Amino acid sequence: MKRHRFDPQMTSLLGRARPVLLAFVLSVAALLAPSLHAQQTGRIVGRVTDAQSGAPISEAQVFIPGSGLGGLTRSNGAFVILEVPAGTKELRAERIGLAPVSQQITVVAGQALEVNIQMATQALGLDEIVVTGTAGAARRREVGNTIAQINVAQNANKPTASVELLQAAAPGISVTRTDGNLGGGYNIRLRGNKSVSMTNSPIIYIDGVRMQSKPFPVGNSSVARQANGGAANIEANPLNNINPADIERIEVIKGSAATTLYGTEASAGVIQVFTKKGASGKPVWNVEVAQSLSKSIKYGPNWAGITGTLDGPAGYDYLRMDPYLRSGRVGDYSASVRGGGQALQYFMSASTEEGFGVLPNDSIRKVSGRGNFTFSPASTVQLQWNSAYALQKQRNSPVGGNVYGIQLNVYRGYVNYFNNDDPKIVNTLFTQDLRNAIERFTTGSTVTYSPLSNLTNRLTMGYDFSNQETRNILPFGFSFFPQGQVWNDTWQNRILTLDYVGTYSFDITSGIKSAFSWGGQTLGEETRRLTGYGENFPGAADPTVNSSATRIAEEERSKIWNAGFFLQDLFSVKDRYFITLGMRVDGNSAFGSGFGLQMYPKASLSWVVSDEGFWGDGWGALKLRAAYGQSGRAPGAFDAVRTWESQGWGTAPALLPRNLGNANIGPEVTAETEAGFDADWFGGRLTSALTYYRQITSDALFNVAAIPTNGFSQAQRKNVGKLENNGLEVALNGAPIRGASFGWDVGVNVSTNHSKVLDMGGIPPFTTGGSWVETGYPVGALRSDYMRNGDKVAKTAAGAIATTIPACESTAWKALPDFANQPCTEAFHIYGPTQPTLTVSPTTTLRLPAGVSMSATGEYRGGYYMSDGVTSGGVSRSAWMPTCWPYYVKPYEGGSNNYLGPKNGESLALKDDTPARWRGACTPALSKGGYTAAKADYFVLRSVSAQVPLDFITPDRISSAMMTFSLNNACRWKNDEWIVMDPDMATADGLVNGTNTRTAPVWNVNASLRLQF
Amino acid sequence: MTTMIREAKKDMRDGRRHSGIRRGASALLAAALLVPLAACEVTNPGPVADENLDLATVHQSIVNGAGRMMSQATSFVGYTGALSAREIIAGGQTGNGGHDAITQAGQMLQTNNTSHWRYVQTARWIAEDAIRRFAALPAGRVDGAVWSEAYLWAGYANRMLGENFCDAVFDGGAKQANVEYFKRAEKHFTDAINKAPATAAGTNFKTAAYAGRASVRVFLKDWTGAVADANQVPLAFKFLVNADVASEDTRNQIYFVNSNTPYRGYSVWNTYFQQYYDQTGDPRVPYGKDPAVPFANSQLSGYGSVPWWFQLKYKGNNDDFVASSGREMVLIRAEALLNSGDFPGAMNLINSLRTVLKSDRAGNANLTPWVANSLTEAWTFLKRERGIEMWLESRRLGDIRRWAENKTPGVLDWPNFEGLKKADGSDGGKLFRDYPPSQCFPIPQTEIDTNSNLH
Repeated sequence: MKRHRFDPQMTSLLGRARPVLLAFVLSVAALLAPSLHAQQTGRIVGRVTDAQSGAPISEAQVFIPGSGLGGLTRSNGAFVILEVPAGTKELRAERIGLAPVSQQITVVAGQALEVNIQMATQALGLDEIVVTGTAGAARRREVGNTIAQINVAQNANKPTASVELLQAAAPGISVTRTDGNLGGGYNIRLRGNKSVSMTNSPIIYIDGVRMQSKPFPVGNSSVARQANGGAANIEANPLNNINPADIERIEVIKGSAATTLYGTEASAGVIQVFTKKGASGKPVWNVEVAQSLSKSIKYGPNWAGITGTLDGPAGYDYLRMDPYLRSGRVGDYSASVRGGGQALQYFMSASTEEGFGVLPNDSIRKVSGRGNFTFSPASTVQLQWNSAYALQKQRNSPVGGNVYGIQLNVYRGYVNYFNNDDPKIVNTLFTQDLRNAIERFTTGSTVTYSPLSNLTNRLTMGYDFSNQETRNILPFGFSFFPQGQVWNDTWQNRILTLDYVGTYSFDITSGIKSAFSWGGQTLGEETRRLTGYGENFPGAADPTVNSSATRIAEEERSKIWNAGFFLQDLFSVKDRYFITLGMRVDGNSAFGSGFGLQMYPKASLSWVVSDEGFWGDGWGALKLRAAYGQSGRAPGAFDAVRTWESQGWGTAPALLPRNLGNANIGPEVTAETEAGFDADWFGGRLTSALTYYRQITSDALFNVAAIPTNGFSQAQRKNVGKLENNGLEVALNGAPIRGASFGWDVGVNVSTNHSKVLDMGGIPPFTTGGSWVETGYPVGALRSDYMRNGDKVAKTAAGAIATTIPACESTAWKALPDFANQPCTEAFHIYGPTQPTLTVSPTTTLRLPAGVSMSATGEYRGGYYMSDGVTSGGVSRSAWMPTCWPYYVKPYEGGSNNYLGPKNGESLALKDDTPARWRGACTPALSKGGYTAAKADYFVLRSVSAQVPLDFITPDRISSAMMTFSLNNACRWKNDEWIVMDPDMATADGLVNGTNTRTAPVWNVNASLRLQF
Repeated sequence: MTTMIREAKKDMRDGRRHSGIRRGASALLAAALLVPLAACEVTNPGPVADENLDLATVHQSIVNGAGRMMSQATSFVGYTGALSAREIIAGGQTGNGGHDAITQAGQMLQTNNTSHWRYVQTARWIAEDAIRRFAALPAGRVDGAVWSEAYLWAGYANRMLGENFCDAVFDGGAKQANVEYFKRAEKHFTDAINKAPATAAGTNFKTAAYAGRASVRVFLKDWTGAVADANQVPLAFKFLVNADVASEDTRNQIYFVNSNTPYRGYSVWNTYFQQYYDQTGDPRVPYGKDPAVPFANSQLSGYGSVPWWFQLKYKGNNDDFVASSGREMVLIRAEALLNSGDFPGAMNLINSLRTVLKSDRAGNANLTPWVANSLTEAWTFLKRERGIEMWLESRRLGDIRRWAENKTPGVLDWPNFEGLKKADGSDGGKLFRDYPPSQCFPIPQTEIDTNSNLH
């Protein structure tokens, strides 16, 4: 069995691909470069600075409208526009978050005109255009709900994973890693959970085209013996197949008050990614090289003074995983060019990534390319065509709670599936060859046609394709399956988007305007999965499924269509009072035949108080807003129909009851009310936003457990529940020091999220996705075993140390003296929510002379409970678990040369003064996961970064050079009660925000150099 | 408003040159608005709609579904029940292919083993639903052999429930006495006999139904009827439940969880059957050892590493389970004789099964007959012989409970796990003393939570 850190074939492929990609970008750029007329020209030079502080502004677009001439400012704010025809022109400067500036200039042939521009920060950005959740486009002042906008250019930290742009970016956005595996996934939540049986992942659009929103499935299926493991068990997130350098901004709408126009599927929120577009002017190149070093964070037990002779104190830092971890390294290389003429502008990019992760087999290769073209054939028509392709190939280590996974065989010491903890033996697990290849292609075209100045039509057509091939091989001679296994799982997802919106604006009376919009949207999503499995190879060779003596295949297909239309009217009074009324109507192929269509109404109010006459000049700006809206989540493709499942039984077909069916099933509908304000004070030095929201999900889809004796034992989704979700979001950002050379910005995002099950619809409480659902409790509660009076030592009635602990309210418990104060066990204790109820994200940026800046962002999450998921699994198998270290009578007695197999004599006896909770947790026959459950409050330093301009050492033809250093997820504080594993982990979907037997996330240090010319 | 219209008209005049584009856009607009009205009819491939099950060509597949679930049920009830019956000992495996420590000791908790109940009950329900479905169809629409097989699986499913589960529940109804399973099984077997056509398949089903009915009549204490049925079954007859490696649902789970890969979760070490095999080499209870893999993969709570001595009755994931056999019928006849006090006659029947078997030990001599000097001793041999004959076939718990309830004479071969000693002589049996084994599976919490008739 050959083991490579890098796949040589892939390396060579990428090696060949890189110059080809570069050549492609260069040649297309050359073709599209604006043709310059031979005439007498001059040039414009200057700087763009902040009007308040005088600080230079980088990446502002400075251009002459309609000429195809322009460019981006470099890090010191300087710009130059060459070959400008002589004469009087309009020069315009734009950048997201700043008020656009235009001024008249006169260019003299053969001379340089110096123009310095000051741009003012739009603290509230009331006239900024937003498009997500609006019909067409709207100014912020018109919108009655919150829209979080992440401007990537302003993001000091430059993450290599696009999804990390969302981390701690705005209140109400939660992004958590699922594991530390290279290529691993993320859990994304907007304002908590709205559903207990469907996904809570928001839907994602890219440039108006719906893209795959759900995580890629774990690369194994239900085929045959795959349940035993042999997989990487990662759930990659499709957002990470977008090159972060391609992203201009991301808009996030978090609740139904804003997502109504997206209808069914939008109740968990909408994320829309906007990639960079072309810009008139000479080609502007950006080249970026980044290197990242990573290391697993320590997640071993945090007992003070823990010692042990086998693994040593350091051996517990990673819960015995130390010998199997290494430092990871990933390199990213990207190049892009943007430019164009008056009629056609372009943005093209190419990128590659390669490296290896902290686990021995983890390596990754990525390549992506993008072409965005804007074509304006007439003043009334614009065509935008965006396409992107991404390929991600990776090799992973076997992880997860399975026999062939590294963690289960390491965390439990020698009580593993080898009966041996010698790394030389355990390392044989890494002979598994686990590979995964993801391809994504998205293309979309938007035609905007404005035949009248007050009539706009926009039609978007898009196609999103995802393909994941997972190929896992357990080689011939593998420890646990010497005959060998191979499986190939191909999963495909296709989404077709057809979206039309029209807007007609007119004056009703003087001062009262109406913008009437109408539109329709059709979305089709098809998922296919084909798995081939084989076992028993003829010998040591590179196998395929065809090499196997036994072969099994499985196929799954499903398709869902959703179609809807909407009407909306936005009334504007004196451009400071805004009322929006709208309605969307949806049909969906997953709705039951007896259900019909679903209507989603919306209404919102916005009042720009600061535009009133009574508002003082120095009072800043204030907008009050309130919104109400509904959106939904469709049931599963097969939920409506009563079906049987065809299975094989030997060579004969067999039918098994699958789905009871529900002809009246419809979407769960979330209605959200939100209200708040946006304000800035002290000349824009302090901005604040406050929003209170309350969501009620009625007709919530519950997996209603079937009565096992009634045949159809699979739970049936029914619209029976009612859920509540509410919270407060506060964003405060200040600029205490604002100078040309020095500046200090500080901010904090605070959000709360409290959920409750209001009604179970008459069905009994149940467990779903590892969380408990019961009226009056959070939507997703931790319900597990609990040791009442667990801090006391359990004793028998005679006063001896008790080795078993009675159940609460039992006769045995009540027979104890002073029984009410004696330890007892509760099998079904509800601890509290499984999702954070309080999140605080402080951030600060320091601007220093020479354009140097430093930033830091942290994130605190608290108010929820988790179980470590590891201790009980080991203890119940009589493993000596470091979690129980303070309570064992004898410390671990192995010895570094003692990898000799089972050690029957090892004592797991506990000290007499062991508190009952820990006696329960650390005694094999008593151990339950709940006994180590605790509040999972933690704080993590998400990033510390520094940006250093290198313009002073770069040649003149380099217009901007920026070096960025960042340290990510490096430091964390954990609640003292939280003993082992990292709480900063979550499953990719579902209600559980818990740890498991995967590898904890990594911390990393990045360095990147970005050149613009 | 007038101004607005005038401006609009002007804009439209200006836009005349784009009229083609405008028409196209209007058409697209109309299409976009009309698409939602198409009502989104989508049919996804894969699952079979319920209405298709009345077709005659589908009937065999429905009945196969009941058989498939019986295969799954036999696997899971078989290896979990074997812990309570002490046919095997746990090696400490938890999670997949394993149990928590209390179940490893043999004590069945209401909160555990929910899938075992579901598998058997689903097998019963599919078969009984097929019977209801067939009965509702016009006469002649259902093949007799298929109908007979449906009754057969209904009978065997009810028998498995009766033998292994403490209380009876049917179709979301109230709790009933355990004996109701056997009454229901007896009726289903009777109908299977009556429906079976005079074909090879029909004859096989009829014999299997006689064998099944004989075994449930033992629980109904209808010894005359049991013997009459047993006499209809040839000695060599076996009715098998197909185990199939193609799916993890239907593989032989007893083999799988006991084998080296992946779990090595159980052992025959220290059971009566291990000791008996050491003494006799009886090929019905074979086991093996592997010097390279001496221990089960985990640790038995309170004891430590359990020697991994693996069963060899099942040699692969495809090995089928025996549901009924002619040899079992001989033991039923022997037990009937013991009930009437004829222990010599019973011993003749018991030994007639033994002495035809060749030992696995060197020389492969025939097994020696048991010699009973009293009715009580004969009962001991009967109990032992049933245990050996039907080892790891999910039948032992029913026998243990039946004999206890009937206070039958004789001794049950019962290993002393409570007295286990570790290699250093210290106590290793506390787990078994703290959690005495159950004699049946309770109704699981999932049924109690969902079935309002149980509240």
